[in-house]
Amino acid sequence: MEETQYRISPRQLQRMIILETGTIGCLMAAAWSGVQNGILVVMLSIIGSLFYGGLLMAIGRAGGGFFAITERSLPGLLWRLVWLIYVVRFAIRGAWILSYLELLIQETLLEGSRWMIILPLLIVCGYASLRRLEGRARFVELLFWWVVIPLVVLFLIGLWKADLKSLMPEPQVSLSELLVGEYRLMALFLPLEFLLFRMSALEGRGLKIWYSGMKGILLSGLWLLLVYVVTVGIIGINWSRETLLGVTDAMELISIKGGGLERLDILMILFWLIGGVITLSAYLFQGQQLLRRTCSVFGSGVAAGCMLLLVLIIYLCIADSEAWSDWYLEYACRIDLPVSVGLPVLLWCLYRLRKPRPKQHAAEAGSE
Amino acid sequence: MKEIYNDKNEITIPFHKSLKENIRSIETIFQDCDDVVKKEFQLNRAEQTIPAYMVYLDGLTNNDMLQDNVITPLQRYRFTEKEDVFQAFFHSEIDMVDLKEETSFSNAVNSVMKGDTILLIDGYDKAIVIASKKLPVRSIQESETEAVMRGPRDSFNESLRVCTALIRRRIKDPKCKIVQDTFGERSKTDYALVYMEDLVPEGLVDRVKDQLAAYETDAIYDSGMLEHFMNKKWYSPFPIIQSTERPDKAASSVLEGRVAIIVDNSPEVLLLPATFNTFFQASDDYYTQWSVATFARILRYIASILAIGLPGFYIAITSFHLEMLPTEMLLAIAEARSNITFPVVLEVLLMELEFELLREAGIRLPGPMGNTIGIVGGLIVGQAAVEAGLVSTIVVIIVALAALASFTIPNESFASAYRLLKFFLIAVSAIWGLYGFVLGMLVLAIHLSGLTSYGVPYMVPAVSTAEGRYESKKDFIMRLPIYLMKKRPVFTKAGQRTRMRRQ
Repeated sequence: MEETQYRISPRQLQRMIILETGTIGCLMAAAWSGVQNGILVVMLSIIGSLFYGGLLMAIGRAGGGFFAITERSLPGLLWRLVWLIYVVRFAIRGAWILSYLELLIQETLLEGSRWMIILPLLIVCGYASLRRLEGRARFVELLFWWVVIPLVVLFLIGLWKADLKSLMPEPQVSLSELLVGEYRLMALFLPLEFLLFRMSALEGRGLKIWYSGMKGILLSGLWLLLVYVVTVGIIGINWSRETLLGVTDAMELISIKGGGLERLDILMILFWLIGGVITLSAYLFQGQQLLRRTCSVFGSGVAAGCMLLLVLIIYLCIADSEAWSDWYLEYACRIDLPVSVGLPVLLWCLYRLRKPRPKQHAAEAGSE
Repeated sequence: MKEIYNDKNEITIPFHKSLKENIRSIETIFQDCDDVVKKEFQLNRAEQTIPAYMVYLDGLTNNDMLQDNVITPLQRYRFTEKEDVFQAFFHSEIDMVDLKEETSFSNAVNSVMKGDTILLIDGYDKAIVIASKKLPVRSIQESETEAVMRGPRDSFNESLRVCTALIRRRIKDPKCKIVQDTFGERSKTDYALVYMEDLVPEGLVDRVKDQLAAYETDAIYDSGMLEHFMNKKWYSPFPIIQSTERPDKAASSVLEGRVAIIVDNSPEVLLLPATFNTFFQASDDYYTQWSVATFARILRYIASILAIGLPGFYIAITSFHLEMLPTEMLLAIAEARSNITFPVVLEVLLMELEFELLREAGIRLPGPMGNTIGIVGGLIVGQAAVEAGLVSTIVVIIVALAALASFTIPNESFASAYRLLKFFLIAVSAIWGLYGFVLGMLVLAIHLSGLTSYGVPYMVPAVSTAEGRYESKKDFIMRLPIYLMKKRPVFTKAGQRTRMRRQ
């Protein structure tokens, strides 16, 4: 068989989108939607994510990939600065996920010191980040059904217990409130930014890639909707707004007669943990790759070590997990989300401006 | 001696026209080699005689054949005056078997070491190599490590030629190539690459040859040693090269575009590339009903999860997450452990140690005794440990189930990886409970998804590849009916995947 290193298939891309965007996003949807008409907010955010993802896919495929257009349109120092901005942003998101997973594990699986929890997690994520893109894609593809099937089955069971009446939108809908909520939930779709860096590594026809990408975004949005409906339907809108662990609280209330297990939430968290590792390691991986591009003397081990250290330092800056979540939501809405759209668009515009047009190119060639 | 050998242990001297010179060199090289037979005799030519000299290794040579087909005819034959004595061997009526002209002294000596006979004639700076090997070899027997309920019973033995013959017997196609070479400076062990010329992917055979040519070592005694030279992922417990004793498995692999490596003195033939899935495929899967084979395949996959994870999972649940269990089960575990003073992890480790000891002892002890020790150990020692309050009955069941499950995996080296990693999962589960268990499993998943075997991702077909994605799944967890498996797996060269057409 021919070597296929550094290439990923559209199916792998689709699965990466679903697991990296869907798993952690689902856990936060109920807490972050923040309004009475949450279901409309979630639906709007799904539509928004399709546009957001579509834009990033388009830029990621333009001109030989995002790496190429950035490095071609900016001088050496500036494009290195751009990569460093991405590294720091990814490290902040990684630190937030780390703090959230620590809270989740400490509350449900293992009481103990934070180091006891985060150190093995960081080691495993660091190890996962050392794979090449193709290895990562295979890792996600391999675990996809192991995560998705139990969780979807569990939530479909939970759907029977959900009080769907409480989810009905109120008659007097404030559009501004909806849009604010939608914008806040868009922060859950930030992992779609990886599309910028992956589109050039895809094999297959353009249409198939687009189809797989959009399908992945839509499915992760629908998964988010399902989890939102079950969570809010079981524990109510007020409870879900007040806690960061609304989903696990809802799961504690679900039981299967004759299922053989008393607490299904533990089982669910185990599968969710896999998704968490996939997302956190994706940030570490992408950060490591960008660090290596910024400073070419770094090997993958050193770059991964630097990225791990950066995540750890940022994580330690805010001690409390709930404070972390509040701070991160503010940061994501005010800085991260605008930058995630603005910076690639700006770089793409610069690339278009600097790229010699065919006629101009021909004229220059003729004069020579 | 220094004048004869170079730094690479190769003989550098040439043949001389003078037989006396050649005999002197031979005597020096084979000094104190009492198993080397050196025989000087005269060839009859018209009215005169020509001195000749024969060298062979006693024990590796067919003495009767030499006497009947070489020595006796030579003593009777009278060369004519005009006849070139050397050429007469190839063109006259001297009735002899496979002959070869050899101009290199080094190659001639190597031929002797392999069991051939060399004949030197005065006046010629070359030798005649007479194929006279008769190596001590075990007969073809049934495989003990890859036994099947249905299918051929023959297995490879230590003779390279027997092994190649067993494959040739199954693939009567001249496109099946068998390329031989040697490995090991001193052992000069023969090995053969077997592949289908039109099915093997571009560059794979050259890659294997280059890989083997890159090493210089004293000796190899088994294909397992060659495998180590070829495996760059030394840190991985999972084998990336499959080994088999079964000719039918080797032949079917060759017909899938894989390369088989047969090593002289080894009954285990190497197959590459190998994927995770290939280690779960047993030969009789393809000889029995597809539904039965599928059931067996699913059972093996479940067994592999039990073999690696059951003890760790049990430790995690009983030490950290008892609240997960239903009350009745909780009470049963509490009752079973009521007299046990050790923590669960020590209980499990104690029983695991006992099972591993029994396994190791069973292998080392002679046949019937080895079987007995397993039964005696399993029944008596286990029972005694429970009665003494060292371990609970549940732990005995858990450990026995895990051990039993590991034996359902059809490949020994693959199953060994599972047994090893079981201890890793026991350790992380004992420290972090289910959290550690899941992280441990993730480490394995990360490792496995990063592995490749000669360019083929190890986890194919669970992960996608450019081609053959759906076809490979027909022989994955399910083994679909043979007539549905129209394509060869991903190992095959692109464009050559169709193996079945309906007339």
